[in-house]
Amino acid sequence: MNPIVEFKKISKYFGNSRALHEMDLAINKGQRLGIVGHNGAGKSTLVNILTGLFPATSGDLYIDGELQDSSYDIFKANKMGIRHVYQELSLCPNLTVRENMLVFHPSISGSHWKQKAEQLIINQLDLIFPDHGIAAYQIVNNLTLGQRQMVEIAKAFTSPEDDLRLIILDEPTSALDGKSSQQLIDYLNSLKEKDLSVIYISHLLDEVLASTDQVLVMKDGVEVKTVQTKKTDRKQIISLMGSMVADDKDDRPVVSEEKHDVVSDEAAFIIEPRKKSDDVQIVLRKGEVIGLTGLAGHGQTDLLLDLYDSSFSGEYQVHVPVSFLPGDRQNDGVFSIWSIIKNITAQSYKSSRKNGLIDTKKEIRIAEKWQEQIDIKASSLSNRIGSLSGGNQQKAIFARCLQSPAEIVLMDDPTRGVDVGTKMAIYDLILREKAEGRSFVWYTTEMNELKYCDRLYVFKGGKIITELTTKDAVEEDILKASF
Amino acid sequence: MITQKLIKRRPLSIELLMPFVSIVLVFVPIVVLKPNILNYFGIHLLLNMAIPLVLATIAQMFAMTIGEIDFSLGNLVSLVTCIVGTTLAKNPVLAIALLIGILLIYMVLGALFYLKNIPSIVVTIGLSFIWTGVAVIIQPSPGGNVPAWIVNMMGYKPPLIPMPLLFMVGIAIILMLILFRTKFGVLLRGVGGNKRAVEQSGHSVLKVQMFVFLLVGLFGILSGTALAGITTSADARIAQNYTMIAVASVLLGGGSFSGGTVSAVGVVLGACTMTMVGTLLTFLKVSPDWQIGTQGIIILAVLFVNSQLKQKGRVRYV
Repeated sequence: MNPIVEFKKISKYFGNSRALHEMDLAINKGQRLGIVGHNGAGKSTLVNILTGLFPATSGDLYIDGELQDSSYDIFKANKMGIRHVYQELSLCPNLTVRENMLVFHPSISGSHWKQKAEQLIINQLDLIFPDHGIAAYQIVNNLTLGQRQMVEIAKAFTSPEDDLRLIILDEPTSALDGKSSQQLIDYLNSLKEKDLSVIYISHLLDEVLASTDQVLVMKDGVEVKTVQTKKTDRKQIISLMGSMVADDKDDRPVVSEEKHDVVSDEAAFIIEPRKKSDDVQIVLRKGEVIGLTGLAGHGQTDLLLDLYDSSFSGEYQVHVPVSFLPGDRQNDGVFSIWSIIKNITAQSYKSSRKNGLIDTKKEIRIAEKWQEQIDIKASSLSNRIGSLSGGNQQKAIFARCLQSPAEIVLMDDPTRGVDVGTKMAIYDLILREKAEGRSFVWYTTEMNELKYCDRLYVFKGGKIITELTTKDAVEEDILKASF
Repeated sequence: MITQKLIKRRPLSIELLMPFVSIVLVFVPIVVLKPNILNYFGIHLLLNMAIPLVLATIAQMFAMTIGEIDFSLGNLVSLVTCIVGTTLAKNPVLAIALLIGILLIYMVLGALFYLKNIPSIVVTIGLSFIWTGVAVIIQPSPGGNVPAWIVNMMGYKPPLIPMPLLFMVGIAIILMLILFRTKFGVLLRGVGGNKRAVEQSGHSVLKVQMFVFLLVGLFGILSGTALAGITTSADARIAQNYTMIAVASVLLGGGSFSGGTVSAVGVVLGACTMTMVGTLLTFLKVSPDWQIGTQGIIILAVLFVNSQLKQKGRVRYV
């Protein structure tokens, strides 16, 4: 019997960065596969190739034993009965539940569409989440987040033509409470007889273990190991996720620890909590780099924004000026129609002013200084910043932060999607600036950047759950804390 | 399915509150000032001028529901009064051809906005000059000769209930059926709410958008025809302020610039309110010099209150 889906040496590259490398995978009828891995392990890339959101860079995708060509896309995947429950909502928030069903299933038609759509979704909801409390005429916007997620999940399981074969659930329980999560898991367990295949992606290992037959552990775009759920446990999976660091053995901290012991009095804090509480809270001293880690999207960026905007309220007091280095360059970082020069000097008009007016010559001098220091590869600095490669744009924005009088730079995963060369340049600069007394709060999704930090804070569910010193921390500690 | 009956609907009355409150706020002072307006002819006169604006507002509503806008609407309505008031009598074939041409242009625009991702605001501002240009060629100064059947239609007086009132109720029901009972209505609102979701389910957003703009053109033409029938003249500039008043009426009726939300009863009430504001000012003997400015201030006030209530989640619309 052919597997429903088969990956043969599938790779995916985004520019220079590797998201998935020569992946082999087969999913059989009725199989329930869990996929786990840390940030950037390649889970989402794998799913997106499978559902036709984007094509693979190389390798072959077989569905029902048939090689798929470049015309494979979302619609084709849908036709072949492959469905994806998205992490972000795919409902129209302004429509009612049954209207959303009409949108989702183009085959529903006729004058009785309301009844048909209602029956379809409510029956499925009753099946998975008894006492869900949702009515088909309710507008999605008026549902609670948990109820919306229930509709989203139930919607994926509905199938007026009965052609459903593989369902991909990506963090399906993120908005569900414990009881509903258990109901979903029970439902998945009842599917075994129905020959419906399931891919279950979650960072909640207990859920994955409870609802799957096999668990695929991924790291850095490759498969670490696929284990039988019955024969494994939390501990083994966590250690598998942390393995394969052989290619990066110089994991030791780059920073020395001793000088901070000298200035440990509280007066030296430039970031400190307003009120002491029982939760773990961050502190920052002059000349320190602290790392925020844990799984992506667990409150790290919120903390950075809170620190940036902390003059009157918020959990923390910040005593010196701060600057923000965004990770989402295109949306939050560049002034895309301005020149490179203007982009670099945008936060430091004080230093480029003469007689109250901005002095172009001074601006050029500032930009040239940074071009030399961090090697911004541009034919002319007066070109638009959009003419630079992504990495060089990021260098220019980093230069903007460092040129500003800010004593703390808040960094929101600044090396997201940039090449190795740029990363190295940024690391060097951080270390140099740190020696000169600048401080950094660094949210990163890359494990090997943590070695540049003095202390690490691991986030989970919007809270800091533990503080680790880089000297003692190993990847496994962080994984243990985040999962 | 038992659970379905136990889940309570929110009372419908709150949902329609805002447009109703607005119209009462304008209507009550009118009745106080001129009590004798509450008869057959009074209502006919009061609401007759609202008919073209209601039709124009419906046109704007279709565009705004999918997050687009037509900034040439007022110019289009003016152009149509010229086509109906001048060309239709002289050369019916040409007039029909012109009107069909307008519909085709709107359909092509709908496709272009989708395929090329051009903002509709820019294109329709440009288009507004073209409409006015063509209108001035057809009818350089106000005048013309509107066919009698159109004038008679707008002056039709059925027994007992005034025609404009029948029209308002009828159009609201038709609109409600289109928006909430047909598949097109669901897709239309779906595109305004989450375009990607509609697309990924395998629907053609291109088709929806083309049809939406076809309807924008169609209701624009109906509005111009009705206006010509009431004023019995062709005027290239008569309805230029319709563009903005229609936008305001949509907002007043519960629509939004970002698309998705829409109310059939709301847009009809909104357009009626906007028309009556002008009537009220005349009754208050505000001099015509001050009328437009005062009207603007009232519109701003109503919309401000409206948006504040909306932000606080106090009002909901159907």
